[in-house]
Amino acid sequence: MIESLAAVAMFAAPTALAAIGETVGQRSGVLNIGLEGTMLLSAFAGAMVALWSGNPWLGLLSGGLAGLVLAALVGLLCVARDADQVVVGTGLNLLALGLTGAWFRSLFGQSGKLFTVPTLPKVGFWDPVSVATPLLAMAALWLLQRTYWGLTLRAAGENPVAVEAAGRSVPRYRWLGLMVSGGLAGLGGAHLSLVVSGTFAENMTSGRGFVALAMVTFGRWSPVGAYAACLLIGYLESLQFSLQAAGKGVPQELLLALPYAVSLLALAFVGRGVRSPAALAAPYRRTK
Amino acid sequence: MLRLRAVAPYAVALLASGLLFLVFRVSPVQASAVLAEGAAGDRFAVARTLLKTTPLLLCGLGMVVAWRAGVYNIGGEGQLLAGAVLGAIVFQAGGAFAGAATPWLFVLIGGLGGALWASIAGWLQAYRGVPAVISTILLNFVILQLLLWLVSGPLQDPSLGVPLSRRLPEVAMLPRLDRQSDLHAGVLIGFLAAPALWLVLYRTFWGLDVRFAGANPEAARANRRPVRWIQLGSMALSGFLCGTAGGVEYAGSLGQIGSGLSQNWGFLAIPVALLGGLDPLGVVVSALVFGGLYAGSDNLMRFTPAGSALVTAFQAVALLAFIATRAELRRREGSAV
Amino acid sequence: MPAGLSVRNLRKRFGQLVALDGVSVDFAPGEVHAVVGENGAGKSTLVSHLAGFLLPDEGEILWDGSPLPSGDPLACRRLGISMVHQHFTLVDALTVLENVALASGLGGTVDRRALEAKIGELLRRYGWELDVHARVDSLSVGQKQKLEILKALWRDGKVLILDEPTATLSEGEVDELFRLLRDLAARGMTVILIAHKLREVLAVADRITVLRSGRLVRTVVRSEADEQALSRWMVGEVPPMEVAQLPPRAEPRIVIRDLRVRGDDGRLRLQGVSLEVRPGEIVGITGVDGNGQLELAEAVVGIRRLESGEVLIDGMPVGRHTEEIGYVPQDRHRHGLALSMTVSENVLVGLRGRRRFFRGPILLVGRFHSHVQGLVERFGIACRGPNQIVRDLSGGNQQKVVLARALDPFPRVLVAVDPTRGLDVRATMAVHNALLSAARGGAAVLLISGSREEVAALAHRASRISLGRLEPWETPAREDLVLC
Repeated sequence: MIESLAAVAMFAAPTALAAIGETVGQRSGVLNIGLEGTMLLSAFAGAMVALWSGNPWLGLLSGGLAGLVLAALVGLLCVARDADQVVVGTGLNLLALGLTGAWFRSLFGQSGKLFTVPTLPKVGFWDPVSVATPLLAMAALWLLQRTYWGLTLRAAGENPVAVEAAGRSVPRYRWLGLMVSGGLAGLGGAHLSLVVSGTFAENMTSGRGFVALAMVTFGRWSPVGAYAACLLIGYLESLQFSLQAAGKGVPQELLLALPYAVSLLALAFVGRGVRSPAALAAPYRRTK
Repeated sequence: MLRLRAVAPYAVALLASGLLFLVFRVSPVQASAVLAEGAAGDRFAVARTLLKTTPLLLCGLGMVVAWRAGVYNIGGEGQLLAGAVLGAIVFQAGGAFAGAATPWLFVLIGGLGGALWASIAGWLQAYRGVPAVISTILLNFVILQLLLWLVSGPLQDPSLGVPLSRRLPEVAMLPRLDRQSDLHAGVLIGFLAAPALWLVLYRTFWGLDVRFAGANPEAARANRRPVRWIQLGSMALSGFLCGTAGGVEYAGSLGQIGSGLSQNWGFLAIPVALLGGLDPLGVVVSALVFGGLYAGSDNLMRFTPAGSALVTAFQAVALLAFIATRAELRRREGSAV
Repeated sequence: MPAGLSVRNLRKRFGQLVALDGVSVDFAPGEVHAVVGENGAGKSTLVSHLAGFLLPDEGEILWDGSPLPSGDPLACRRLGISMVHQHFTLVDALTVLENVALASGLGGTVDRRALEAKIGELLRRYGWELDVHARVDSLSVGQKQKLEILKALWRDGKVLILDEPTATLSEGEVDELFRLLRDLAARGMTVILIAHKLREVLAVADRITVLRSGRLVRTVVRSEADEQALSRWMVGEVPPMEVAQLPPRAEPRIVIRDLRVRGDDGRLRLQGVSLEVRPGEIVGITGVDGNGQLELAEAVVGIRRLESGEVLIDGMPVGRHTEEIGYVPQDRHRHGLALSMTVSENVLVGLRGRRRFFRGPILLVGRFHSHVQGLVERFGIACRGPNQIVRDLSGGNQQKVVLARALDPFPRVLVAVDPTRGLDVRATMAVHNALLSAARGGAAVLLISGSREEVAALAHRASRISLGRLEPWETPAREDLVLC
């Protein structure tokens, strides 16, 4: 029982970290479609650094850093300038796909090579990141609800004019929101390659970044809600293995499709009920 | 000054992508030469280019329709797959009749499959407020799994032990244009579709509706245009175009669908469309350029095993540099006023 | 001795538009000082400078003898100068407490108890009732305004500036507000307010500053002013407007009966409106934004669902398909035009009877181009041609495009909302002439405008809209104006 809970938490962690970070980002008004690409690049960076250095913690850190760098790219284009957030995010996803593919192949040859990376030490069935993730969710919630920083960040995503009227800088809070989004997505990506799979394979994120986006909505823009939603997804992912082991006749492909289909259904039914942050994805120009 | 504004983003994009080659320790000059040779050096190269251009062009046109209407369809790949899958299903279910049917029918069925698949996302956005940018990608993954399940189950050719569907008979495949290479008539479709789409977008009222709804949906509403229907319709057309690409791949090149059907063309068509200025004729140029680059990417293997992935990265860097330049120019223009 | 706020020779330009042209005023402590003027006179621009939101091009703003930290509203707030904007700067999704916290300029963790206590104290002082934990979007307009004032008074205030505070308040709420303002002035604060309704201004102000077209007309003490004088100073010499003759009685073309309509937020915005407009008649509806104007216009044009009641055009219920309705929407940038598209395209999208320009589905480009060229000449649209991008046109010419689309082919019904907002004098006259000739040509015209002057000048009959209902409206400018 504990073992399966730990398994669910582990599967959920990458998507959950991205979702928690993106919740903060979207609350500030920025939509980061490039989550998928961020996770992929960070998974690669984390795996490579861990492989070369032999130190998985270094790998984890590199993943986070990669996430921050990519978020900065989005910030430069979308917050400092007014490029379309969807286009930039899509470009980022493509960049990650291309770069990781190109680097991977140049290092390991065209067909790739199976290798294992050093993984994070576990305590019992639990790895440190899986344990830290729910704590991060609660910390994010606390930050948003109980501090002035969080309050201003939320206001920046709802009514940036009010933030300016209060004399604060909207771009600054959006940058910070982006950094949280990218940084956590980076950690999630690194966790994916270091802990969940133990290796890197091309395109290994398989849409987790987009599932994370869906979970932000499904979790009603609360970090804890997003985490809970991702646990559900993690459970569905873990089903692949447990049902296969049990020899049940459910086709594996349909099980693999389940997380995506469930995310879609969740969005379809939540859809009209909740309001996203009112100023989401709308570029903000400072009034002179 | 107007000229500079139009040219500069492409120039910067080219420069940035050139730098990318350097990062991978490939000389941009040598790379260009080798890519050009692989794209148009001989008839086989040209055939390869045209074959790769076709899905990029058709999906690119699909992106144009949707994005111009303001619907962020990034599910071109899934819609392409849906098209091919529907084709294979009809072939299997049709039995004897399907074998005698014209290949163009499969292309049309492909379009229908894509249109249906895209309409799911279209309906979700128009009536449930689910952003297409998320739903289309999720649907991509769903159709991919559906495909994998079908080809190792109900659609699998029983005589083979591998996940592939039954092969189309030669008569049901698109006619070959050149006996020696793989070039087939399907490559013409894109070049016919582009001017047709141009006509629709710029010379029909529906096309105006699409562009206006994308430019300012609130103003479209105030002008009493049915915005939801417009978005639904453009998603359906977008999916139709991408599905047609799937039908062409099925009935033109492959003859059967398998687990390796997805080559990401639908996704790679997005930067093609954006760099083509979201204009049907611009997309023709853009698709040819990238089709050629992908065709030539095998030659890149001489310098680096990165191959086609490097071209993808090239596309991405070009796109981002393009956007960055445009955004910067907009900022400068704004402050000069 | 509390110090005073004063401006000297203030000049401010926005692009080509001169918003303020050498204005000098003194605002004394312990007084309620009203700033009045017509739309575009420069009132908002002036007070935005006082609160530090704008930097003057020329001139100076002095507080207590020293220059004000212009461009830094937070610093001004620290000095005790705060502003309550016309369009609330509240975050709807947050609570009253959170909105106050946001404006407080504090840092670290939010100490809810302390905030609650301080808010409670302020509420008691002014005798207000506000649920500190209520979400702002659940508050009434009057309560929202109290919240805005609360935010402004959070630090010990010396100057309180209010921009059009009575716009959407009920009479009772207006009285409450004025009592507060007088109380604050009595305690030594400088209270500056922009107001539109002259009767209210005369009720609450100690001194009144009149602006016209960016210039100071005069600053007077309350006792020296009355409505007639203020009107005259605000508007100047008005060339006698050609008031259209009341048209012969005919069957009403627009019939609105007991209309109830919901706004985008789900709330009932029209609470039972009944109205009739005859062919050749201009019916005016005046009032400040937010009282149901938009919903009324959209219901008549056929793009908004009716909750109950009916809207009949020539006896038939109106719908998106109803031909022959010309619409000039409220905001030409948001609702009227797609700025990135050409004049031709903007005209075509709303063109009625467009069959003649198409052969099958294909547009006959040449024929349509000539048609738009004709419109450009007829309406005097200053542009390089039908293929020019609308964004490059001036505001007045953009509005002419909207007008051309609404008036050609000649409509049976014309609905115009704030058609001259943001336009200069010449463009305004052009629009007014177009409206008048539309009426003379037999169209039934519904004019909804926040400019009372405009409605008074053009309408045969007029009414005021307030909180979703039509109310009687009397204006000294037109004694003959009849309630609908």
